[in-house]
Amino acid sequence: MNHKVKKVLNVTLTYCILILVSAIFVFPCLWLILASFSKTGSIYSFNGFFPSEYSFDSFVTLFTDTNMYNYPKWLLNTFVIALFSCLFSTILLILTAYTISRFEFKARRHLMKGALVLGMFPSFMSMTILYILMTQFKMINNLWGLILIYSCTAPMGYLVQKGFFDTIPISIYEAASIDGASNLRIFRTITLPLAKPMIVYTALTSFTWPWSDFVLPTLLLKDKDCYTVAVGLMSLGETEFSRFAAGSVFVAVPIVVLYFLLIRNMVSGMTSGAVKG
Amino acid sequence: MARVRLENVCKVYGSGSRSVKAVTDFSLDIRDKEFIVFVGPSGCGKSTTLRMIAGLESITSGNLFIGDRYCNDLEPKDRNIAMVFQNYALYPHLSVYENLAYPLRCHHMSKEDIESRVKEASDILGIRDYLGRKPKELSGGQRQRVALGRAIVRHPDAFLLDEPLSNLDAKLRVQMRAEISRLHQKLGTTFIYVTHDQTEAMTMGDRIVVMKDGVIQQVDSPSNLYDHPCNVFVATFLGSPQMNILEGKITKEEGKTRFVSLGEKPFSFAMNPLQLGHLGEEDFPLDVKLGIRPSDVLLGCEEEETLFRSTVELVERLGDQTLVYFYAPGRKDYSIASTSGEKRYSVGEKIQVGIKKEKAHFFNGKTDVSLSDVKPVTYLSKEKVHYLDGKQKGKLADRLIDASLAPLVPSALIQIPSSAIRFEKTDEDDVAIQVVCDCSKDYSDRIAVYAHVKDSNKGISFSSEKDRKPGEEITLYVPLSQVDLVDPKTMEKITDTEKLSSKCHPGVLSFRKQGCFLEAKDEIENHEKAYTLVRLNPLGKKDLLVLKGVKTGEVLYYSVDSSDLLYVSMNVFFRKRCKTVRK
Amino acid sequence: MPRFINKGSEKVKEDCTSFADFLSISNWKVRLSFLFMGLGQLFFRQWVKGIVYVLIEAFFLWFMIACGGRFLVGLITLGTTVADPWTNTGGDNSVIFLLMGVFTVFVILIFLALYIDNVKDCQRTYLSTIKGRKPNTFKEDLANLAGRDFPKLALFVPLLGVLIFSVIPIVMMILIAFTNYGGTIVPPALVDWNGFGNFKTIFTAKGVGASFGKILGWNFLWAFLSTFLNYFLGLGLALLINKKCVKFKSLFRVFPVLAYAIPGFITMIAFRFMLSLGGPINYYLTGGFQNNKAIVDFLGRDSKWSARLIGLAVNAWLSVPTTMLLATGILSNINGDLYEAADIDGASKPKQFFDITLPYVLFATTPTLISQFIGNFNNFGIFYFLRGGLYSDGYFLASDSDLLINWLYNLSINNNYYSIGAAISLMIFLITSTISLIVYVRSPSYRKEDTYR
Repeated sequence: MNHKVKKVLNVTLTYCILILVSAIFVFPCLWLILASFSKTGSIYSFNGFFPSEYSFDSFVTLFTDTNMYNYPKWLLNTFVIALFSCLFSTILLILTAYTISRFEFKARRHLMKGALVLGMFPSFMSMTILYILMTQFKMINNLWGLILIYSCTAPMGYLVQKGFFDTIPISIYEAASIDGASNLRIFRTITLPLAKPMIVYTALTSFTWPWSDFVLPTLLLKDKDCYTVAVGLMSLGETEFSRFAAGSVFVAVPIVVLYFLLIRNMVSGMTSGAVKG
Repeated sequence: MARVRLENVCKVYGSGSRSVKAVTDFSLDIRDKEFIVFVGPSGCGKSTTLRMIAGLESITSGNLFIGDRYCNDLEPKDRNIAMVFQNYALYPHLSVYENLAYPLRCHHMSKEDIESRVKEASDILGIRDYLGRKPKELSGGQRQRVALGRAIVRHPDAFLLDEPLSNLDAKLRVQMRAEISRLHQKLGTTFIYVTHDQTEAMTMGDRIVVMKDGVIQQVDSPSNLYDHPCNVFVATFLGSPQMNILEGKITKEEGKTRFVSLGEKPFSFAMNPLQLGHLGEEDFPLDVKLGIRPSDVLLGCEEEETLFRSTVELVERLGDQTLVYFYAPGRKDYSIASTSGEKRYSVGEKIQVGIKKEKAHFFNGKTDVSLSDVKPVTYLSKEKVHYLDGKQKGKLADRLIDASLAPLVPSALIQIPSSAIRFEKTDEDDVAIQVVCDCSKDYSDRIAVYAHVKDSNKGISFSSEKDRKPGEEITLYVPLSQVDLVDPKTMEKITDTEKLSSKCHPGVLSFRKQGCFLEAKDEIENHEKAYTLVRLNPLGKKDLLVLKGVKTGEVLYYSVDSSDLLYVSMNVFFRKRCKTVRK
Repeated sequence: MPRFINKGSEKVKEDCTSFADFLSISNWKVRLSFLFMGLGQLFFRQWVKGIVYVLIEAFFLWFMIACGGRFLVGLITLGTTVADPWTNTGGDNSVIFLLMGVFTVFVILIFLALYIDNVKDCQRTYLSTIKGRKPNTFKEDLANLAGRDFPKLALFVPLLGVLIFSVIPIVMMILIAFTNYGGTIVPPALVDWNGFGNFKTIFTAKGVGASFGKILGWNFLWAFLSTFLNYFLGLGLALLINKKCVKFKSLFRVFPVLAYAIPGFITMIAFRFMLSLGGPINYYLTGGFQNNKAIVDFLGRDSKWSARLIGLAVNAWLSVPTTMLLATGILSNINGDLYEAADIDGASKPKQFFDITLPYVLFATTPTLISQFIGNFNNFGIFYFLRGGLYSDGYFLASDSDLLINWLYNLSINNNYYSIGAAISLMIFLITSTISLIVYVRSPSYRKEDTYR
């Protein structure tokens, strides 16, 4: 009997803790959603966690009141940046990771060590200089400055992709080269199809990054109309809390959806990626 | 024509003093339509050689010809060969049809051609039914067939197979073995097959190349390798269960040759001296290893035939045969006898062991080389018989490596390579030797004849096409250029087959990243830059290098300190500045 | 000088430079290439390649004569003339000088690399000619580029991008750490080198130095605490969810991932609002703002420790999902047979946890622990959002909960103390890189990289 009681206690306790933990994680998100439906903008008018009145107003003003805070423009800016940097980053990253994984060339070890050392510098160091560089090239307030920087610094994070390419057995490439395929043909017909899950992963991560990055855009985008969503939302003051909540919710929903797609894709990618024969 | 020829192929990894020789001096002539198997333990270089033929590894030195085309620098796709990998290496994202069609698409064939070839290959292999499936939906055997199909569609000059059956279970392996042999017969193309399994090698190959540590041990047909292994390694590698090797001595008492085993209770038996090729008086007593296959060991002999008594330690019953383990004198580990499955033995039973003496193999105890084969070289002493006349003697003396060796000439032995023995006189300077044949041994493709020199008891062995009767007298002829003088004390050559004497210079070798550099003290201004090492003669502590200029073909001779890093056909550069190097 | 490597009793000589060997197996054509790029190739009748190389060197020489030399000088002097608004003469912008100087140095390095490549290529051609083969035509070289030399082609653009946007900025910042750029000394004023002056400033006890010590100490404490808190909380959560008795496993895993998926700055700002003076928490504490005395200033000026603790808690909220996912992945890799064998041997559940699960998980996650430590060490966002812009007493332009990286931000971006900021960055780099390198080099994933390849 004792044993059974213990077991029941155990299970109940486990579930209690889990529910509590889940609640802790969900709660702030719920609060934000609630806040976005508040009628008034200021946080002081809330009854604790709950708005005093509910309405869709915040969402409406978000898109219509574009004088001070041009939310639709921010969305567009961020989308453009995300799209192009996703495109370029994926190309550069896949190419780099594939080359380093598959080919043995003299500078390979040195390149890998160099990338390792470079990655240890706090990313902040380069920010000031990038600001000066961009000023020199007159790329301040230009979306392409951000796209360029995101794309060109992407290959530094090649390790994940390289780890994936390392799992493709070399004998497949050897068989293809004996079959008569040139390097470019091998890349096109064999590597790319096999790397689909990794390409999706890379594309998704490089697409979502500009939406949440705030450091670089703050530096390089000074004009209010050029803001990205991150910078824009940060510029909202305390009185515009519900607007902030609305804007955040609006942008967070697709990102969360993308993340879940990512995880599911990753999982399926891993199992089918067991390339044995 | 798909004749594959390898000449002095070497593979060296790393450079300079940190190099590793994976394959050393591999020379082989693979005939068209032949099924040749490279077999050996792991790390012996067989896969490396196959990959060099395929073009997946670069050839450090030596020449590769596929169908008379020089292929060293050709890309794999230009060599018209097909390869089947151990892990099949099928393209996982393509269907079976697309896998088979891939090589044809790479060569831009028309759609109809692709379809017909794929159909043809899938019919031969019986994979028509799953052309639409993906590799992960197939079993191991089916995947292997698709891999074979991908090779067949190309109609290549040669098929290269790298341990294709290693990933299959035992039963499937036997089945696929037969299929591959059938395929070879049907297609009639050259097959080059690599395996570590000696059963596969013995059953499938026309000829087998046994390799160890990057060096070819023996190239021969399966039956020759089984019946006449040339050293202990080949003898114990082929044949299952392994050949029993017992250590002992061969003594000659009162004209009778006996084998005496080592051990606390040695056994001995009289033997036919002709089984040993020919040995001189001074050779006895000789340390030898006796090799006897488990199937040639007799248990339960009569008293006269019994060599020693032993106890059964372990019995393994395999159904059709029973393996009996026992201890024999001269061997620390178990010895194995295999008998028919009907006889029963129990552990602890006393047995009387004998052997089939005519099936015994003898190997030199120190060098592990078989004594019962045509000896590659024969040494003739000039005491009893005069082989050379004055003119020939003079020519030989001209070829002394160093003039200081002249005093050794009178007592020097004459070295004759058996491969140089001819039956007709082709040149005025040929050395003539009168021999009387003693016996002959039949190999499947040649006959080994054992004879002794007339009026002497010096043995000589050679290969002959015709069978020779015992007592038959023949004259053998050896070209003088192939004859050498050997110092009896050190057994080193004191002449070389080309005129050397004053032309051999000392030099110092150094190995760098760019290659091998030779520093010589004398005038080398007129030398070319790059030379190829044509021949390497080990002379004790020094090596004699014969260098041939790449452009002009000028031949130079240098002697350097012995080094393991040298291999035939490597490139040697001359340094302009000479430094004295401390060694 | 030749080096002698002792191999037992035998001494094998190995030259440090193979330059002597190179000279001894080259001929006049190769040496021409040594003098001027491309000449050797031209004499080998490799027209297109030779002309390309010649053009590269010509372009480089033009660049150096026209502006390169000036830039290099500028790198050293960092400008000499000050802009004079009275006479309307433009002055030297020191920072631009630094930039162009660094740029020139890299151009020189790239040129040197191409130069060495040119000479090596010539020597290779020469060696193949003395072996009897013809020099490559341009077509063959291009074919090689797509074949054997594919890495060169594929990595050219990524390397260039990384060079311009990652390497040059970092090099410049390192250099700026040795100047006095910042504060009042900004263009159009002239910036000058001042050696280790900035480092001295950081390490002296007064003013900036005092802050440095305090912030550094807190930074380490923070990194340790947050890493271990996140790690064990994540591990605990993963274990809890993994228990056999729990159904709806994936549902329980969804909620943390939800928290992780929302962009960080949103949730951090939300927390700041939650804990603000007029926010919901204070609303409940004061009963709807009736009792204003009970307001707790969580993140205010004087709330040093509450701010720090709140930082830890919020960071845990943000990072535990990651560690939980990681631990889940690793736990699923543990061989179930181990537990069955332990059951047969008679081990109790807690004992199994401590002897089987914990060592395995610790072993498998050690490398990520390091990267998490570094990540937490440099966690900019958490205190920027929770308590941004607050300056405490006794700290120079920082608050008492700021990390080094927040301090860096305040100094550089907000107050233009670039050189000191750069010096601090260097310090951060030295600390984090030393830790990483020591652990990474010891880890099996580095040593055995080739065996998994």
